[in-house]
Amino acid sequence: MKNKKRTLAQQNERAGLLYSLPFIIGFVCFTLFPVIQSFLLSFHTVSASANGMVMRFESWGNYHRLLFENASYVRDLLLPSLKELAINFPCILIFSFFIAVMLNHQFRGRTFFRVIFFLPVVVSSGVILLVQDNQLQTNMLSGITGSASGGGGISQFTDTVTDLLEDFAVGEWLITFVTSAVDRIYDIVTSSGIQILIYLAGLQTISPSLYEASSIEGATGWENFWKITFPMISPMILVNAVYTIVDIMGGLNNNLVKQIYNTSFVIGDYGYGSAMGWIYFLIIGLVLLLFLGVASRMVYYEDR
Amino acid sequence: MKASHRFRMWRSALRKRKVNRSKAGSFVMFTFLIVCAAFTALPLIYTVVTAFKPLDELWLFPPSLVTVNNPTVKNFIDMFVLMADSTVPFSRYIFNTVFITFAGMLLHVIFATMCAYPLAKKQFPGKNLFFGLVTLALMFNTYVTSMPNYLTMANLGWVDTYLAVIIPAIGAPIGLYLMRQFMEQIPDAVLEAARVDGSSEWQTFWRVVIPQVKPAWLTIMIFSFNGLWNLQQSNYIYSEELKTLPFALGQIANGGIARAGVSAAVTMLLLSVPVLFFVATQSNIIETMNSSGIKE
Repeated sequence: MKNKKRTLAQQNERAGLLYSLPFIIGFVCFTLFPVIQSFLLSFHTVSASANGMVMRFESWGNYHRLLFENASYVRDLLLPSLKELAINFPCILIFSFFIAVMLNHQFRGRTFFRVIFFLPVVVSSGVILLVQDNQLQTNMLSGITGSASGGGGISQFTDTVTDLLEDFAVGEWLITFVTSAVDRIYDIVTSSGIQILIYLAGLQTISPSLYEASSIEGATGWENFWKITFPMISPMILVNAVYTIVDIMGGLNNNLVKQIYNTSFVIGDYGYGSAMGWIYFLIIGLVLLLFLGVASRMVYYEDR
Repeated sequence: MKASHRFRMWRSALRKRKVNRSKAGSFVMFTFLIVCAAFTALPLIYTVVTAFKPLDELWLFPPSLVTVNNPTVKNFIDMFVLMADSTVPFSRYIFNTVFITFAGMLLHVIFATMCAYPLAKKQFPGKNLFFGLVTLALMFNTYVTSMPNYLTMANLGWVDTYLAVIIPAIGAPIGLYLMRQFMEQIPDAVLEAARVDGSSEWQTFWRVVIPQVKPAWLTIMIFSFNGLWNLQQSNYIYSEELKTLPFALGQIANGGIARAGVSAAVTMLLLSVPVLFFVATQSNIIETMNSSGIKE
């Protein structure tokens, strides 16, 4: 009986809290709390001793060391990863979108292609880590990615191209441009897996009746794409943009992330590592907020 | 009569045009797809090929990428022999990984979906603040938070239990973020219609919202499955009996340079499960794609 007296808004509020509570608790305990903790730790020097962990308050010491004393942090780590982001981010977003549109067509072997484009996601999170101690395997795999002096694969291809270009006596800059372009294409293709998946899921929630209606009105495929597919998928473009930023900035093959790991766990200076992470986090956060502020105005939602 | 005739004419004209377009279009499309696919498939093809190479062919330089002269299954046999040697029975590792993967994945998907629903479609105090925090938390990589997380686990007494791995996976922000964005797209009209027809809050959620976002939760499942399956070693687990399959197989693979072939076999075995899972879920997504709920 009591239930009936509540207004709709109150009911909604109650249901809302009730449904979210399990996740909120988990999130606060295992994501939010550690994040705050690491912020506090970034103002300390942390060292392990016989009596457990010893924390010494440093105030801004860690940050000062990073920004003003240790020149290589900003120059060799921060700026290059921002540059990488600026180039790869639009490329990945656009590339994965067009692949997803293609894979959403009805054609034979579609599942096969979907699997292939998803492979890098499986591979990057599993195998590369698995075999990182195995020198031979590492050489073989990195030879393919062209990042080390292994044999074969893409690096072999780029070597051949380099030789060829040298025979033609073209300028040095062209050679570096071509080889870095090939490397970059590899980067982009292999880090588009999740984005393609998200786009595909988004494309599949578009009601086919929209396309039916527009074909009856005589719209061409091109018009369909820009007037239906594009606006309907725009929320997913936003999602992917966020995911791509997070992925590029937080990925294991990001040098800055490796450095954070090394400082925190190999050298054991956890406070310093946290400070590194936090400067980085503030910058990405700023980039993300700016982007969200601009982009969310352009996103189309059916109900608004 | 006349109208239906014209309709048929129009349909056939439409179909014809589609065929013409797809002939030129699909050639370009296929070429493009195949070139891109070559990039992503190469490491895997190479791994598969290596798994079947006999020892002497492993040492060829430059290594042959896609061919093997005398294919052998010796690497796989070696792998099983090494598995049988382990101190903890191998089935235990398999159980650990399967259990962690499925428990973590299912709980994560259920709770993230339940939480995303009100975040997308209801009003309650603190909603925007909470979602803002989730978005920001996406940017933290696990290294920065792993030390505080360890302290939490230690205080809860969860170190060296399954809980230490499964419970944090539930609160992963990426699943919630994705789910909420997808639910945002469900028209309010559908939910109102359900309410008018007398469905309870739970029924609306379970019968209307969940089917509408099936592609989304299948995607999150893939995500979560992949992450948990590949979980190699956790900072929170020390007992050998609780360690995971990738960890155990990693030990086999890292036994030195002579085990390159075995390690390729191991890699193949480990990769095949997420790939199969992906294929299974993908075909499910395709089946349901045309069943969206609303007719305007």
